[in-house]
Amino acid sequence: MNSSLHHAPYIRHPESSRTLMSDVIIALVPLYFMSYFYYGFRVFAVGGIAVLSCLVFDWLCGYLTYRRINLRDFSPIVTGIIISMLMPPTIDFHIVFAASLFAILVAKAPFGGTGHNIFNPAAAGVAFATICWDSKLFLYTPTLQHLPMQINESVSLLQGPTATLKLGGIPRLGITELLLGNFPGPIGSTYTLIIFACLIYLIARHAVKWYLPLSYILSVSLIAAFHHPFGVSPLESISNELFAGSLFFVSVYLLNDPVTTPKYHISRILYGLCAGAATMLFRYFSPLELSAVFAILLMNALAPAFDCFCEWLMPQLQARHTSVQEDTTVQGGQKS
Amino acid sequence: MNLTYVRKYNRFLRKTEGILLNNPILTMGLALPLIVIPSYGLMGTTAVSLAMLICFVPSVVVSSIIKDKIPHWLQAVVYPILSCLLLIPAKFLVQNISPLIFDTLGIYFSLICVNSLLMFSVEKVQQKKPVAALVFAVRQWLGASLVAFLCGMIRELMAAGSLWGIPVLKNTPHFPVAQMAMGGFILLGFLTALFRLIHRIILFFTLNASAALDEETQVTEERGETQK
Amino acid sequence: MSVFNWLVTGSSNGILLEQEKEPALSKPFLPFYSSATLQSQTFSHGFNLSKQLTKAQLIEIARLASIIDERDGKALADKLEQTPAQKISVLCADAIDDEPFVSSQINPLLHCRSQVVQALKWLADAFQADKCFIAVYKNMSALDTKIPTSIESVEVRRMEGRYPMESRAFRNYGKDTLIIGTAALLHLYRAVTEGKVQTTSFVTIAGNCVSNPCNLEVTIGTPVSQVLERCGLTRTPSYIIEGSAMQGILIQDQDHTSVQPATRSILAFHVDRQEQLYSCVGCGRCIEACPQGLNPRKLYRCVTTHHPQKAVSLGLSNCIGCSSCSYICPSRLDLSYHIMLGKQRFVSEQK
Repeated sequence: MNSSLHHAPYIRHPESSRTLMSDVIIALVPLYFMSYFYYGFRVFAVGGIAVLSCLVFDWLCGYLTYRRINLRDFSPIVTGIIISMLMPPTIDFHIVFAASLFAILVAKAPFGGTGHNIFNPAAAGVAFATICWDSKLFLYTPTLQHLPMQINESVSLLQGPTATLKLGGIPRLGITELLLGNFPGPIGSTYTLIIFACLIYLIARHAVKWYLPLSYILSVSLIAAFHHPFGVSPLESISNELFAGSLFFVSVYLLNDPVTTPKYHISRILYGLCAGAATMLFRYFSPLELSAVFAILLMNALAPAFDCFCEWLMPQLQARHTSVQEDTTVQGGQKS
Repeated sequence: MNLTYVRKYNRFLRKTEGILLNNPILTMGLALPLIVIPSYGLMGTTAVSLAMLICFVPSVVVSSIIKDKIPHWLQAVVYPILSCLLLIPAKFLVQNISPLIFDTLGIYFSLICVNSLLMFSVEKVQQKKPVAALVFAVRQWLGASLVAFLCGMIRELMAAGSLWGIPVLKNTPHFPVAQMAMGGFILLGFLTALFRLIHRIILFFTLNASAALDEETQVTEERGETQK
Repeated sequence: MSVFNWLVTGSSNGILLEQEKEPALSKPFLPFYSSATLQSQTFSHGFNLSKQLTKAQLIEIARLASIIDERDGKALADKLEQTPAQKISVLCADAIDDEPFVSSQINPLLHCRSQVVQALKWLADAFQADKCFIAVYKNMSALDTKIPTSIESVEVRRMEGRYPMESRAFRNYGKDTLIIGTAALLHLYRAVTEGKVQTTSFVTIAGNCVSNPCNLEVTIGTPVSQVLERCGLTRTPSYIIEGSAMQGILIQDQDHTSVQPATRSILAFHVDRQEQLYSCVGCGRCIEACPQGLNPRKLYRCVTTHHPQKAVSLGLSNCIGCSSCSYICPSRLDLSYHIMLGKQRFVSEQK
């Protein structure tokens, strides 16, 4: 019996970091099967490369920094899966590899590995790929076909509905298409129904706080409803903005990364609102189609500031609340 | 404990003050954006280094001559103005490099004359004689521009596969992000880490060599004792 | 809790724990006496029981019987004496066992109801208390069937709340409140009627490698190993704890550690493999669990990196050491242990 290892609570909550991460993996894997149905076996190859390279580089960085390699740390797997989900199905393998490399080697390891990273590694990797190869990253392919491993001239490449939105056009996708993701898009981030089911699973498992995606989607849909192109009803504009691209996927999987979000209720809600506003601003004023990832990166940098702000704000609100209560009780006493 | 080799290494480092020891960019982080953003390639780095040489070194020397003949609060205004004036000859020198150099550098060429490195050096040479100030300024400039050249070379190779506009690597993947400011900052961060690593590896080997020397002397001493 | 409170506090007032009291709670407590109890001398106080006992008489009986309140380990006589001279308004019998496995307060209450209530009534009469009630924890399975709403016209109040409950339950009552543990009341009853000196204490023996979890009335001074032998062990335990699973103390030498008057439970746990430590992922669960509304994550970082001033400004001295944060932490960090260490070090430095 080594007493130095055992401290006060001798019973622990059965959930650990491993179950937290494996919940996210469980919620991510169904998207692969839908994607397999639409694009064939190539999506598994893309995912495998992303996950393997993330894992290998994470172990390598752990080895270089004399840290003990923890085989139960699943967060590089989550990073790899999310990177592959945001890539188009016809992506070259070396781009996936470079994005994973950037995610682990630049956005995660120098800050101190799992739990210490300021920026979400997956978002950073995808942003890196977007900046470097923006011509290749936004060329999608029609659904319901089996892609060959090596992309050649026989595969038709076309722009997705996000490009149409970006140019100020109207995609005119039916609601069924939008919910099932049956249009040219990234590998795993357009299947709204499945993502919604996974979101409910994650909320039930406490891996996601319900108010964070809600506040994000609320702010996005408010801006989309007011700033919609001519001849489109606000509801159609909201559904296009939310479901035509990878915005909903980002709001479920990237926004809720526990490492990079603020910690208090009120700061999380503010964070979600600001991230939504930033996403829409990026969408309207940036030359790239993929705006949510950049907004998330920007907000990640501000997350500690949100916490500090709320640490200052919360005592003030509490003091005001108690003073108001005292006022009402005093008035009630006078009346009686 | 025998530290012969470590002392030798430290003496060597002290001789390279400003270049390897206390490098203004890698160690102290001075003038970062001015070195990082224009050093997208060898051409830009050359232009910036030349402009720095002409603006920065004379200003520092002049400051060591004037010393406290002008009040302290005025110094913060006088030296930048002096540096700005020196930008005019620098411009005529730099435009020989390439006709498009001012288009690519943009505002950063003009911004080069006033930076944190200048202010740091001006304060540092207040107690020095002009010759020592000149040596100090040249060393600082050399340290900064060497790092900038290294950065510029790597970034141009990575982004375009060329050096000074001449293609060198033809069949390698290109990373256009290397020529952006983001790539420059990340590269500089990794360079800093790399130099720290090299320093620590050298220290490790010198310490080991010293320890080995120590053991040898001990062994010889013991032998001497037993012989006695 | 209103939406506004939910927004501005950031904490949900503690954690929900699996109580797991069951096999020990329903069985009546068993005697486990050694010769010290069996041969102990009875005393006679000589007071007339048909009349109402006064305060001074009760104090004298408590002193003669040397009863110790198991809530805080103080002598009952001192506790009664220190109450303010004027009458107290609320008298409360504490049977809140909010920690998992422990049922050493509620078990004597359930199986010696009339005796406990009789002692409570004596005290209430002597102190002229306006109200007296028995406090019971609400988050228990089969609460309604097992625990009556009133015992002999004394209200059994169900106290609601999440885990670190016992320390916060009586916060709203003023200074003229007297809270006495149930076991102490039972000992007081025995002292008054039979003249028995307190030589035993009620102890719950439980844990995942105890074959027969039950409550025992153990003679004070019995070694822990004998007590565990009495209940039987299915496996060799990894660690044995005196006190609750959340705040107890690890027993190093079970042969030379004996049962004390304030001992409430002895738990033996077997853990197959110590879960590996991860680095903090910043999930914010500790902030939600903290009953005091602190930020354990930041406090932990301040304490481990030696920033005493910042830690104190974050409210280090408010920590009650309930271990909720350590329990909930998915990275298995020893948050509570380090924060309490820092509290001992920094707060004493400041004074």
